[in-house]
Amino acid sequence: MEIVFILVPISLVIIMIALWAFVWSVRNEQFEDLDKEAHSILFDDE
Amino acid sequence: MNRLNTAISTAECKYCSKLIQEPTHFIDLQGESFPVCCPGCEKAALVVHGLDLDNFYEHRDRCNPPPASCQSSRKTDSRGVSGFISDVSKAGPGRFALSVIIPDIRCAACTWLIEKALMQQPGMLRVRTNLSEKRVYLEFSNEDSIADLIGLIESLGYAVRPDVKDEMEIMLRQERKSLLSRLGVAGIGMMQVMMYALATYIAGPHGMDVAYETLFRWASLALAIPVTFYSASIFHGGAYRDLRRGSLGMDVPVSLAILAAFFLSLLNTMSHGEEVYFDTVCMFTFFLLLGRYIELGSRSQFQRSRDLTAHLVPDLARTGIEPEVFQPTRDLDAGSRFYVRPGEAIPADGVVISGCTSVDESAFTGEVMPVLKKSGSRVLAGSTNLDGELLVETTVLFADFVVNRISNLYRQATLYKPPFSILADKIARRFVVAVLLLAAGSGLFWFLQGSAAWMLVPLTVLVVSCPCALSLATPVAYTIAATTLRKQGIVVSNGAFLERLAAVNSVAFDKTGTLTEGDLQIAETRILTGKTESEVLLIAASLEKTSKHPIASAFGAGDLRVERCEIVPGKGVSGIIDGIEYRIGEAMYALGREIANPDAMGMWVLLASDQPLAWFRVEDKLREEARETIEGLRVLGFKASLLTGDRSAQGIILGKELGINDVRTGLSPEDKVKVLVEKQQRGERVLMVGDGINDTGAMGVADVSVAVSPVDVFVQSSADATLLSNNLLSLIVAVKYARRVRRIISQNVSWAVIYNLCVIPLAVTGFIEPWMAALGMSLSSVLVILNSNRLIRV
Repeated sequence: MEIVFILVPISLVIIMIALWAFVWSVRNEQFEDLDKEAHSILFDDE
Repeated sequence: MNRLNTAISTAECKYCSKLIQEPTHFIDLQGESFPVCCPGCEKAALVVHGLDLDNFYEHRDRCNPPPASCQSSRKTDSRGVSGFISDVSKAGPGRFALSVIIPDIRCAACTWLIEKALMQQPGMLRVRTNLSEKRVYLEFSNEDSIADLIGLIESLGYAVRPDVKDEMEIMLRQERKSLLSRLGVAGIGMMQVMMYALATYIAGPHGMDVAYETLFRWASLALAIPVTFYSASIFHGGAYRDLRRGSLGMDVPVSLAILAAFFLSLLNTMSHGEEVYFDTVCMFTFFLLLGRYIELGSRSQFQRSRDLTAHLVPDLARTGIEPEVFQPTRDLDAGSRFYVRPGEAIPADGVVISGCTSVDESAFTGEVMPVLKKSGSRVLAGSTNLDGELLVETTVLFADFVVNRISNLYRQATLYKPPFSILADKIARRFVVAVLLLAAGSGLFWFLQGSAAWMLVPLTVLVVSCPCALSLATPVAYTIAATTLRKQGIVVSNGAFLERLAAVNSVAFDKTGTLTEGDLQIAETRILTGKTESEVLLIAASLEKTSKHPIASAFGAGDLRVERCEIVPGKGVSGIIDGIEYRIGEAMYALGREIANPDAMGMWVLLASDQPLAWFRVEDKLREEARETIEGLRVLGFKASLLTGDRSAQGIILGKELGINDVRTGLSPEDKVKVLVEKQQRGERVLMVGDGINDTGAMGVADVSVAVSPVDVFVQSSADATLLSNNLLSLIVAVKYARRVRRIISQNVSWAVIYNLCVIPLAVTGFIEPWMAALGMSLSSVLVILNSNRLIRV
């Protein structure tokens, strides 16, 4: 079970990345308009 | 897509989906022919095709947008392109930015079309559309291309309006962003801390090597730090402000609980103590923030619907054609005239002088079908003229436009704090004190008992008893309710409207203009002296010109000079024409003595000088929905009565027809007040429904009042609410809705109270773990908010 000593720190690193990504996307207004993006995935171009 | 119905030869316009009878215009797209309703739509469809964006129609069908009124040939706000140039800002070297509002955006397909079309333009760097705010943000490299860009959007059939941001909105936006990022951090942190905690739960006490346990604790600590000090910082800030003001708000116990749980866990982590509560910290914070976030959502939706109305009124009115002259809408005097072209928004409230058109008033009434307007009809600023040219005379000043009054009244109504909410706040404040004392007391007790739980129990008490649910119960419900009613065409001007309406058990209707259409016609004239029919009609019309009573409108406007004109509400009008004093109105008033009506049936008006001159029989049509409304109100347990100033038998006949037993005729405005007071003394709680002209007094006395005509009431603003939809059935909707609001608020409050009463004893005695407390308390607040959110639907 010593592997946990490596896995837990790795999970922490991944979480930190996730946190950063989330805060970045909020700051860059990725969550401003949830109505539009819900539909725009259906609009396939070309 | 295109449903051609050959049987009745109607078709859907290719571009705006309007149904067309006998289509005459067709366009050819790649060999296929499609019907269109007008040249505007034809042009738009060609632009779409030319830009190779025919996918739009397919996308639109997928979104299922609400039916559009024809967007044909809509023109930009009269101030033209020059107005937009001043809005352009620099976004960087060689980059210009502009933000505009496009009120016609209806679905995601519209935003797709606008984005794609604009992105094909040379020099376009970035386009971002926002569906819920109906806002488009552009970045482009060539400052001179604005006219083309706006022209392109217009040619697609969308009106473009300048974007005016107010501070309130910017603040809400900032708040939303910061709250969302706190919420996300707390959520992600919570999930991962739970993962680590799960391992220890499964292992049970002492089931795990100390080394592993310590590892999990340190990892949880790392994640709890941002949650405690970033996500939860708004609670700490709020608590700090409360304490400095010397008051105890809701944030105090919350912040105390979070900090205490965190530092207790920190201590235990470092000293290898019994237990850590990082999971509790994260969960507690996450659910509290979730509650705040949903509450903010309902607030900003409210704000947005208010803003959109402000964007409806154009800045300029066309006061002259050939040459075109424009005047700022704000500076229009009552009585000035202006022209409105098809597709333009009407800049001011007024009366149509000439022209015939259909007008889209959906912004006011929620009703999508256009309304026919001809000479003499009233039009409202902010509604859209669809197909004809109009000459309109303004009746009121800018500040008194219905659209502006609505937004003012709306703001006032939401500033209102229901007594219930004030009480809840008061209780919550006392409650906080009690909880703090209780927490301290229980800690002390367990400490004296020598129990190890002496730090844990107060923590649990703090967490479990947070009175958030109690404080949130009413305000959230009210914010949502005001927005929902507004969308139904009911504008609440008095915040107490909903709670009073819910308690009402009796309804009093005015007759003319309320139960009837108020669009009166003269059905018969009986001459009593030597004058001719046209002479008496002209005299009557000239006298009635100044009156706003619905009867007056039956006579049209006469152009004789009237001196010393005097209106006696509920009685009639008097004035001097060519040196002779005439009076028109009920017989007693006009002649000064009683005289029998020529016929018991019908409503008769007498014109007299020193002797009776002529009788006019005025006819009024019953509103289509009147019977259904009264029946519906009776089912809801209402006693209905009819109060009318009319003396004739008309009222009684009408009452029979509608099934109203309590009919009182021949009432002066003062009499109406007396009748209402009498009813109230008998224990009835009365809803007065009138059209706001001679019912002002009665409306003031009644427990709650509703006006059915949007225009005159705003002049008097005596009613608690106004039906912009001009449809009595809205009354039933409003009553049912008010009762539902009351029910939901009382559910919320009872839930919050019962929950706390049950749980606190358990916490004090140490039966509940802190994490259970966090879960219970948070779910309780979320439950209250979700329950209030049910009010979004009528």
